[in-house]
Amino acid sequence: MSTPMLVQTLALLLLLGWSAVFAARRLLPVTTRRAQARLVAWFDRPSSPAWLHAFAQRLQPTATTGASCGDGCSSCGGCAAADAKPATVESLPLTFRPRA
Amino acid sequence: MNATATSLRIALVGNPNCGKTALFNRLTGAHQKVANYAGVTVERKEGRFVAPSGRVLQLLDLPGAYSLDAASPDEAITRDICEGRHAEEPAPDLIVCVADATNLRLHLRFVLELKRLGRPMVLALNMIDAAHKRGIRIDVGALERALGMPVVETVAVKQGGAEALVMRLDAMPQLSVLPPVGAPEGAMLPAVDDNSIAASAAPTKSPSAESSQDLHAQVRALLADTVTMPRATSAIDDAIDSVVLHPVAGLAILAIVMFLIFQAVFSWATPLQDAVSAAVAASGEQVGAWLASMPLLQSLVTDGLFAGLGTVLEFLPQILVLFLFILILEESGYLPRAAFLLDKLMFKAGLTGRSFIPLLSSFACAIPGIMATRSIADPRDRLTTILVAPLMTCSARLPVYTLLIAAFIPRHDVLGVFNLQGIVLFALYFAGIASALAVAWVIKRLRTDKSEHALMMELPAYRMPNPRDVAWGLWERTKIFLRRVGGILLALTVLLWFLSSFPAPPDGATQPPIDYSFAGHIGKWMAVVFAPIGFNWQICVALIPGLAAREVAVSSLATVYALSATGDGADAALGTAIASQWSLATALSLLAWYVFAPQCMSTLAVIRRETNSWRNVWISAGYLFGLAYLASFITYQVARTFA
Repeated sequence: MSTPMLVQTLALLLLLGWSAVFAARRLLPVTTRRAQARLVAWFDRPSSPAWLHAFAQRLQPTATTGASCGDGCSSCGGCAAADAKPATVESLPLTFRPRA
Repeated sequence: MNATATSLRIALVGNPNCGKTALFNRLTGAHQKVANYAGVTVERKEGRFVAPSGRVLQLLDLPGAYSLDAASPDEAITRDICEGRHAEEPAPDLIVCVADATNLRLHLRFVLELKRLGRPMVLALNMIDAAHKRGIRIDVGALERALGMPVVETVAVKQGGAEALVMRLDAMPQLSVLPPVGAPEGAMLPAVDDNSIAASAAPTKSPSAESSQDLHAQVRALLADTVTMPRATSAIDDAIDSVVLHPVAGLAILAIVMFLIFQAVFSWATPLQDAVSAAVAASGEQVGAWLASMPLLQSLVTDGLFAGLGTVLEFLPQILVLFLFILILEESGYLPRAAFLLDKLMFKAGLTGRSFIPLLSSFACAIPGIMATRSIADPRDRLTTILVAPLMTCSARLPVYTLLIAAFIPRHDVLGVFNLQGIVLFALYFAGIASALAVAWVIKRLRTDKSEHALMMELPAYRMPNPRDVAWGLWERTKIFLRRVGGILLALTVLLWFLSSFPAPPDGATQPPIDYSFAGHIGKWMAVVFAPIGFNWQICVALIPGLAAREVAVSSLATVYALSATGDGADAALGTAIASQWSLATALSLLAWYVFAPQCMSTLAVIRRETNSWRNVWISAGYLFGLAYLASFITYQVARTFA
């Protein structure tokens, strides 16, 4: 494989990989975090070498609260303060009232 | 013991729109959203700052509340934290009660109510400059003695306007020796820990109606002793309100203001838009030439990134013009007046004037709009507002609208003054508003339970918009837009390019390669369902990534058409390409689709979170898709008949 083709293949793989992970994390945050946690558990087995334990620690999913201010959807700009710390607003359930 | 461990936890509390968040921003250097109306902050915000002595002070900005008798979910957060009943937030060590110095008649009542909690307090008389301008004189010393707490003057929007407060906070003793409010000067609390402070607050009850009367009497007495006020309200504000709040003239002014905004979106943004377009095209050509030896990467960069993302980037000037007006209106204090004017109409439709601000916030994005419904006390009104908020035309729809309008609507003058394209844009925004009112009316008819209706809304003083704040707001919008372009839009465009480029066409293929790709196949399957509303397979392909963010539909269309183009049409811009390949009926049908379609998964996720119900998500997504399909079907069939 010529050098330009190698560069092209590597660049495409990197871009596609990043895009897939980014889109999945943004659009399916809970599923992605679950998958990440499973991966961490697998890497963090007692029989794993030290470097894999260290890698598992780095891969640990961060806490988040789902879609709300601070979830990083970055669509409204209301997330600035919550970026530093996950928002922890309690949910405020609503239900339809029964007909009178 | 480190600085954080010994630092004070301070809560900024007060009536809505008294400048708590402005003070929070001034003290912490944060840039939380501020505006001249009640209900901007609906959840707590946390920050910290270092006092001149080096002491670290933790600051909590709480939603505004008129009373500890919480009437709405945002007020409940403030009540729970102040009373030490919040599950995740310890009670603050010190309450800084922020009061609007121009409206102490209203604000002192809450000060007295908070004082009953028995927590250490400081009163910040904010907007003292405005009070002085109106001839209001406050005897701070007398007020301090009467309330039994330190009182400082602040101007949160001015540089150095919170210095007196910072000095006062810095001079505060440690948590264990803070004096309670009402204690004689020099008195100190016995050594206590966090738990004992929380415990002391827990049994506090909200004041009854009787004690509420008592509070009003105390406020009157306080004002009589400490404040000199030439008149209760501003003479200039009253004069403006006599016109702006007039039932006929007021509504006419509101309609004219909205109309002019959409005219400006098309007229003012054009030169900048042309400049961005030229810059993107020139850069695309240059980068494409550099990548000539790597054809696939060249295709990704030119057909995907420059054609796709570049097309979306061209709409930034229009979004900024729209937000320039929204920010000016927010700062001026006009928006609550508009809510007041529309209350009667909104009530007839099953909403309330309180829905106005959340719905207006939805013009930026439905997510903060839905969050802002926390200021609506009535659960029925709140749910209705949440369900109709996605119908407001968010800024993500603007690129789609302007792309189609520029491609299909001629740039004619109407009556020699107005621009036809601006009128169509105004009509689309109006269609969103009218649909929201219609849907709310249907919800009202379906739900027979009635709720009490009374709009209690504070009309803030008019203010000249601060150019620095407006400029900062525009900068924030630019950053948000660019973050989206460089984030989710980039990721989805790369993925769409991959789906549109692979697998490679078979040997001897006669159609453009995209016809044989994954995206081509998916689009053609979907086209069967969408054919009755005039959508071709390229539009269907763009609808899928458009579910993540509406403006992705534009970059997706640009990518799909760039990859579909052959021969002379290969270099055509998206607008030119669709103008030559779509019928007017298809374009109008797509515009109608975007008025209703719930193409934003984040919005649906926030509906789930705020209502704690998947049922509401399905109701919302179902009715929006149904309406979108129906509206597009009618539009397409009617337009085809008359074309």
